Amino acid sequence: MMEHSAKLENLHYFVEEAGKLALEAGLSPTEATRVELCVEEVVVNIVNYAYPDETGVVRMECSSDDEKFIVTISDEGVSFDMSLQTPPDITSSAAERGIGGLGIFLVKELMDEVEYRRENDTNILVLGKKL
Amino acid sequence: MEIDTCERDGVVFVSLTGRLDANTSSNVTDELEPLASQGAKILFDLENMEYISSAGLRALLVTAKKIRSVNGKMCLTGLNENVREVFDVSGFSSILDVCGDQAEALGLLNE
Repeated sequence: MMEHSAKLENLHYFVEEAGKLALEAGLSPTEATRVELCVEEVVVNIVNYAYPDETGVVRMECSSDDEKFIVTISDEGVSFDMSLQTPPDITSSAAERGIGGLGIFLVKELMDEVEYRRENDTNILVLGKKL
Repeated sequence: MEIDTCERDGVVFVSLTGRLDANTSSNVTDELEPLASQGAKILFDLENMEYISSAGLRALLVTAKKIRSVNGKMCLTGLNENVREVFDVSGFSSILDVCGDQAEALGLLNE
């Protein structure tokens, strides 16, 4: 279990740890990079939106079994279920394209499983990658 | 992230080395803003860019929008497999000019 303040300067701790453990669990370097990307997107989202009025923490735990590598990321910030977000229009041109929504979209596309639950005022996001 | 720029025959070659992520993307936007607002022709060499996240894509998009608004051009070459996938999944392969090699990129910039 890893815990740091929800600040951008701490992002690399989460990304490096998740990438390292993904490789150790047996994912290919390409798959481990996908895990790193998804961890970045989720943590950045927490840093930017979870704690509008106060500072808070981000927690991450990685585990694996015979079938998958699992990253669980949690925060005690504003309730946020990324599965309810509308995907960005990825067919729009550069000039039309707005900024935002892309990170969540990438997480949904690149992970095999994305599950959200809210428990005891905590957002819990479980990301799964098949081994 | 290392950002190297070098101008040759009216084209600015920008080589990005390392990770273009939420921590480094604003450096890229800030460093390239003067070039972009002059309407430069920019060829991004991404051969040594090992990783990109949505923050990195945004930095490239902000730069592309700036350049297009002042009639400049930019294109990208040398995407590795991981970076290419992020471009493809996000749709950025079709909204930014991604070229197979430098010759193709130079052809596009000098059209």
